[in-house]
Order: sequence, then C-alpha cells, then structure tokens
Amino acid sequence: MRSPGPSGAPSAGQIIRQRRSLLACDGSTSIPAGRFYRMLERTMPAPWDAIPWRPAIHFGLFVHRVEGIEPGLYALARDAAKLERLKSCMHPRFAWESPPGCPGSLPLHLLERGDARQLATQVSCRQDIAGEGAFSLGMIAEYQASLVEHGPWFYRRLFWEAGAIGQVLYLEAEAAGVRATGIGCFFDDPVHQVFGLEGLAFQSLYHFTVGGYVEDPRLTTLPPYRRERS
Amino acid sequence: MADATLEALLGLARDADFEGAEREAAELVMALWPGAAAAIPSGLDPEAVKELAGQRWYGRANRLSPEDPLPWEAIERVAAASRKA
Repeated sequence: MRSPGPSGAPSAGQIIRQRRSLLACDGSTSIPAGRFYRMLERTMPAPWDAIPWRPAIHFGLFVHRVEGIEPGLYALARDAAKLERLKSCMHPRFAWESPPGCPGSLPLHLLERGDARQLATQVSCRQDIAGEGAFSLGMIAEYQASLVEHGPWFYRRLFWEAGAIGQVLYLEAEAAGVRATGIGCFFDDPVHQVFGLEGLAFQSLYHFTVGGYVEDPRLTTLPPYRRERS
Repeated sequence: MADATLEALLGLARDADFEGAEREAAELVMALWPGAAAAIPSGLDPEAVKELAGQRWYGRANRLSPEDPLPWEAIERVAAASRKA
C-alpha cells in the first residue's frame, strides 16, 4: 500500500484514503477519452471476484465533456453477450457506433449525438451534478429476468452490484484527478423513455456522475484515530 | 444465507430489545481469512446459529430519532418482499 504506483502515479492506498464524493461539478473540466475508456474498463466484471453472479447491470451514459469523443447518449453492455438484447430493447433509431479509439474489449457504443446536459439534469431530479460533469450514467439492471431466475431476494443483490460499480467509479475518478458521486434521486420512467426501454425487462437502479469538482470550504478533514493515538 | 439466520446471529429479531426504537436490517456478514477462498465453507450451520441466538443477550437498541420513528411503508414493503429464505 505504501509503495508508489507505476510511473509515479499515486498508490492505491493513497487514492483510497483521499477519495471523496463530489458535491458540485465545475461545469468545465473534461477528461481524455483514454481515461474515460479506462474507467469504464475497470467497471467491467472480468477481473472481479466480489460479485459471483453473471453481470446484470449495464450503463446508459450521458457524455458531456470527454475529449476526443462526441457528446451524447452512449450504452455500455457490461456483459458483451447481452449487447443484442440491449439493442433490441432500446430505441430502433440509435446508431450503436463504436467511438473513436475505444478498446475492442469494451462494449461501449454511441447511441445518439447531441448535448445531453439538460436531459441528464432533468432525469436526475434537476440536480446540476448530472449535467455539469464529464459524464453521468444510469445503472440499468436486467430486472425481470434476474428476479424470475433467482427470486425476489435478488432485488437486493442488484443493488450490491450497483454499489460495487459505484465504488470502482469513485476510485477511478479520484485517480484521474476528478471526482464522482452517486445520484440517488432520479426519475426512473423518464430515464427509461430516454433509452427507449419499456416494461420490466430493464430498470434503472442507481445513477452516478463523474467530473471536475468544486471544493466545499465548509468541510474539514481531521486525522483519524486521534484519541487512540494520543 | 437466509435473512432469518443473519437476524438471529445479530439479535435483530429480538422484538422486545427494539421497543420504541427503529428496527435494523442487516445486509450481510463478511468473513476475512488468509489464503485460498475455496478452503472455507461460505455457509453457516443453522444449528450453531440457533444455539448462539439462545445465549444471554445484553443491551437494548437505542432510538436514533429524537421523535417517534417515521414509518417508511414503501421501504418496509420492499424489504419484506425481498427477504431471502
């Protein structure tokens, strides 16, 4: 944990200790496409052993400020085998283009070009953080099929998967010099309409935003375990 | 693991200890150990848990809210519907 990362990058331990949720986005910071792809690659389930079931959560993304790719709506199939199913359930007009420089192993596709800032804000209970970052996303679960296959108790497990993804995004954002936060308030039906999802096949469970952050000077950080160490 | 096992293990099913206080719901128990994960069974013997739950318990739940706890009916309905047997 104490050794610095490769090429002078901060160590994992340092990133874990310094990571904070963003409270407000600056509305200007962008991230390079390579960083964006890396963040998304890290949310892919392949290297994980913490979630034993087949991935059931995919992303519907609102991309605002990523250098080298066009703003708009994107989709990431976290299980490449589910790509066709997602395609068949979303708006038929969507483009499904691979963005420039996207690694072949990352099932990320541009659905529709355009300024999605206002749309992202509206579906996130009008919270500016959804439109003023580099990108925000909805975690869209394979809902009905998961509950039918495993039983109603699997509803909670879908949130575990969403939470694990969120923790990865927090750390990857911090490592990229930006920050992230979960968005707990969003209008699920309008989110589904944006992507063309109908019925109970897919359900957005949790949202997230990543971007340049505005420091809140009212917050202070005290050293941990002060009493025990004195 | 069944929710009932988890609740027995943590004393969350002891109604009298929660009188006037908010109920608690446990999400999971975690076990950390060195070495290969496959070496340890990931379940708990229900009989052992039952025995443990029958021991003497100390303490009562303290109320988190200064006022009467707010009912969150929708959440309670979902929690009940998504219990793991």
